[in-house]
Amino acid sequence: MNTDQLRLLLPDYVAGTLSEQERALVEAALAQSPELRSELEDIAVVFAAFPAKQLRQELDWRARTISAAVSQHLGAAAVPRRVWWRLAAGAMAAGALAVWAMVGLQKHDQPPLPSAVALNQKVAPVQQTATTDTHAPASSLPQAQPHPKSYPDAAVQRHDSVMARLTLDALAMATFPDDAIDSQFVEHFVEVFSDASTY
Amino acid sequence: MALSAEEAALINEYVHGDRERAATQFVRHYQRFVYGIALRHLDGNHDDACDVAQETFIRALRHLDRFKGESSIQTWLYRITVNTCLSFRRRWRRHQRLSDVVESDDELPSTIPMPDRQLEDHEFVDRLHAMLSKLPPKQRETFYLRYVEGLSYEEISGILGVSVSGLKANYFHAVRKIAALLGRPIPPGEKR
Repeated sequence: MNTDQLRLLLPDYVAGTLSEQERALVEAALAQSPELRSELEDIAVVFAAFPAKQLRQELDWRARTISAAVSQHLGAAAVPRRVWWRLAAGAMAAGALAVWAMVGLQKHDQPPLPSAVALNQKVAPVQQTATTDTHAPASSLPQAQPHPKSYPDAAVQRHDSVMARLTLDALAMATFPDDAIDSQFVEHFVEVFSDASTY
Repeated sequence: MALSAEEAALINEYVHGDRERAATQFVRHYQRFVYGIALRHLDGNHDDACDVAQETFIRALRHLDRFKGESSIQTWLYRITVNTCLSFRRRWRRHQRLSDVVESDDELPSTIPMPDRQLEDHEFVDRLHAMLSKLPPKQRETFYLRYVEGLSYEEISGILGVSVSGLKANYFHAVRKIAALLGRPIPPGEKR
């Protein structure tokens, strides 16, 4: 290794980052060259003026807020994703509600199911028997016919009401953030929505 | 350059494990490195360097799960940081042109250094930055990465794309120039 190559090792020699072999070569060259020794002094002055450890500590201190800022940003960025999820869930719940309502309306307009007709026919003689105790002639009594609107009955309507309530609850829960929802809010939401969609 | 075991573990944790924890660990591990690059490319402005560092990490984390490891993470982050600095400067110039149009002079441009700001608390960093700003970019970067960050010549070579012998020369000349700026005479004939 010539003097020029050894000269380039001086900063690393001062910093103590040379291998044993390189270090021995530099020390041998320094012993023979006043010029190299002068350069070594200059380099030592620079390193003493700017201690690497001190610089790193200052930089660490300056950069200390970056991780918190990035975490905060990533946390904030995650919120819209939750909102989108809620909106999607809300839309799905609303869709399900709409489908359910349409099916329900169609069901009301449809003729009664055969089983319901049979049930009504079974009930009819009992009604007739009951009415035979009156003075009205049996022939004048109206023929027991299943009324188209007699199905769904009260139980089905209760079921419909419960289902509507559950669906609206799900819609409210999915559409609004957790902190906006309490039992009173859900009650109010369901009340307003139920009025609007009148079952 | 292959990934170190630590880097690979961090990426693995980010992709398959606790993503949030890994992201925080990743930023903490490299925040000084990224901040230092940004500081040198943004005229030593602390606030701008913090903004750019934050943006750099957000960009990096967006793509970390697709990081192939063809270079070291530091090389990758260095490139993202420099590109983010360039974007930041472009945005700033555009903003400045608009400000000129509306003749708004009530706000100081953020890239104008404020000499009295935090000098007492950060004397070494600001003084070093003042010296480094007078060096050619390759010498400045080499000195910083070698002396302050303590990277090996091989690592710096991967980052800057300069041969190891070229880096040793850059490092030596950078130190000699800083010595001259500190009042030590440079011998006649030495390369400036």
